[in-house]
Amino acid sequence: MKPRLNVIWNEIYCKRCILCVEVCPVGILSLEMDEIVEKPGCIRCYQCERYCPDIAIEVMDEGEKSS
Amino acid sequence: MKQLVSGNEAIFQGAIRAGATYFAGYPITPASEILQQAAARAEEDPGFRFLQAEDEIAAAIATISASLAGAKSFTATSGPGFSLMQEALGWGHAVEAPCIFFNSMRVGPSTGMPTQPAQSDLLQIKGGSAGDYYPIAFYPNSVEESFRLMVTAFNAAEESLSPVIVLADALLSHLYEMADLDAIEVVVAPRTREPLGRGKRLFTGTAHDRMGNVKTNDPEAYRDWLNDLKERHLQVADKYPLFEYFPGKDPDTLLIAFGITSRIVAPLKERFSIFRPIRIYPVLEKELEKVTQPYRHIIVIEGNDGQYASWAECAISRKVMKVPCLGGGFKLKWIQSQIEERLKGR
Amino acid sequence: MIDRSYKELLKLKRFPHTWCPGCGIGAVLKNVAISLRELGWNDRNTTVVSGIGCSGRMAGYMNLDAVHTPHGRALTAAEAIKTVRPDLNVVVLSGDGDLGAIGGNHLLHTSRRNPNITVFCNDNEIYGLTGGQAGPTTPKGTKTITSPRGEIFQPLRLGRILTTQAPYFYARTTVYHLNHFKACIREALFWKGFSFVDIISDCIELNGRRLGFKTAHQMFKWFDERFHIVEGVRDHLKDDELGIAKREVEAEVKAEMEVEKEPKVLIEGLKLFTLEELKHFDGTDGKPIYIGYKGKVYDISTSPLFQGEKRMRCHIAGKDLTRDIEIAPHGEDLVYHFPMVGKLKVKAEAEK
Repeated sequence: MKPRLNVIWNEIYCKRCILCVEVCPVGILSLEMDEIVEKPGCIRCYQCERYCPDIAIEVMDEGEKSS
Repeated sequence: MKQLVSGNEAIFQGAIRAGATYFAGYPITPASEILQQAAARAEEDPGFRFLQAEDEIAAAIATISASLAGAKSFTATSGPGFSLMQEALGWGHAVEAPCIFFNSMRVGPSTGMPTQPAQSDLLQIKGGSAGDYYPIAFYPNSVEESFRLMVTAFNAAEESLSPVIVLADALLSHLYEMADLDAIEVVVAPRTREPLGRGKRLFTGTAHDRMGNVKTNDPEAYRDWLNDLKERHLQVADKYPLFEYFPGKDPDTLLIAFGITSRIVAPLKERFSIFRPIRIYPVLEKELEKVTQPYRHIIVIEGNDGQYASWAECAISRKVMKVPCLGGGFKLKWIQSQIEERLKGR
Repeated sequence: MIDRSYKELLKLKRFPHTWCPGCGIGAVLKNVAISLRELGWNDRNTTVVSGIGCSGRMAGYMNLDAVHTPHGRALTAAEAIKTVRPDLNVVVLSGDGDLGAIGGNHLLHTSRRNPNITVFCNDNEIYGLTGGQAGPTTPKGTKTITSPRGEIFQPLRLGRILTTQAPYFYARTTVYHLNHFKACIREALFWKGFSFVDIISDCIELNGRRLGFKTAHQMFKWFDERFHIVEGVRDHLKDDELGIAKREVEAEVKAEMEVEKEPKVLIEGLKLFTLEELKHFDGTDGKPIYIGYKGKVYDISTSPLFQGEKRMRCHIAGKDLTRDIEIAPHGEDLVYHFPMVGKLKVKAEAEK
């Protein structure tokens, strides 16, 4: 599980179907060099997490973010 | 108290004595009476469940699933229905579910002669489903023995964790004999399989290792699992080396007959020796070898075109003679003339 | 905050799961797990059953006792388990090919017997595991590897089949309409009886690409175009509607016109027969065959049973059959087909 700015991405579970990239309403996720890359600006809508069929991406909780 | 009991009634009562609480079936001559008895029993005993399924495929699957869910279960059918159950039989061995398949044989192939007895489903015990599996099968020849063997079969199923097959034929199913089933003493094995809802197990027909993890690309895990299964089944089968042997006057000739055929040739006991295997599968190799050794002529009399004879030949590595009683024609006189013909000039 | 405790219901140590990138089955698995968790169902009170195919692998990822049946037999297995163990919640996770094609007969009959089980059907309109052959639910005209010029037959409409006889519960949803999807799962799990959720799902690798979609999300958008959600409870769903069709009892059938059963008496002053006289008419020596029924005498000589060389042994001829016919499987209307030839003198009357 690799922590990013706002999401935790599970490299092993992820199959790079880029559903999360496409459902993100603010377009901050992208697939670059076989990795899901995140830009700042997450609005915490949880769409990526809800749609991910592989349980590979999670939005960090508020508390987690600061730590 | 002794009373008239039919073969099918004895089979059903045997299952009840063994603690069976679930039956699934589909109407088929000559096994329908068991379905009827199950329906009647479900009416009066709320602990007994029964399903008249839409086909034998469903009946067999329901039987195995009920066993996994925690009930001692059984199903009853005849040759064509048994053909449909083959898929489930293989699955039952893969998920290791103890249950009973009762097959009352009639003349085949296909619909054949629905009311005429035969013994022609022997190869279906072992050869019908895909892959390797090691079923145990018994074949009684009387009403009382049907009762006792049904209990034995349930015990063997629990010990081997697999579907066990009980065979009969149209004649035996509908044969009425005086018997006192309540007076027969039997030993009933307890359940060995933990019912569903007690863990996180996967019961799958896909190749898996001993722990139940799916392994579809691992020859070693498969080998381990299958060898375990085989060893267990053969060990349990060894506990029940059931057969009957009557030495006769003729020192040269041994008749092998089982099920209803053994009853029909019983009057020849005076002259010939008769060997009757009760555990039909796995073939009684050691016993056959020992018994057949002193005899020059071995004649297998059976209601098919040499199915058991071929197994016996493999087991004792010798040629045997066959008297196939085909098309439901089990006549002593005819059998006798056939035996004479085979022995002429020998 | 989002509740992630549903993960306890999944065998995470076996992840990543076996399905292709973007496959809808992962979404079905996850959302079913979430709903089960919300209801507090766990390994002590729940069993999952699945069939064969990609979707059949779902049971193996659930951290519960799971039964993985041969192809098409999931429903029967689930029904048997529920019968033996009414205390267990039984959930079937399977696919459209498994439930609709090879298991079609079991679908008809298990739904008819209405056991209290819930079925989640991952309906991706294709045989995915075997490489993308046309399935029972493949829409007409779709090109697959076994229908290179487009599927020529109409698809099996599960919704229509399952909503013919009440009680029924049929929901159609997609993996894209997530909230609707979850609502359907919950409703189905709450339904007492046979409930079926038809989840339109994507098979991007073996169906979507041939249809011209590049990613799972493009297929989702296509689902959005094809279907629309309808609110409220319906009796039936149209082919392009997502929603729930359910009904607990059969709608009242209009009372059929009372069929006149008693035949009209054609001849006035019918001949009076005593039971003794009736006995003579037993078909021997070319005599007609008469039977008595409810005080009347009928001539049944024309019955096909008594024609030709090998005619039925006529043990009923010349007798009063009133009591026999009442308990017989064929009803009285059978008797009324035959001409009435007289009245039967019952004993009391004869004594007078």
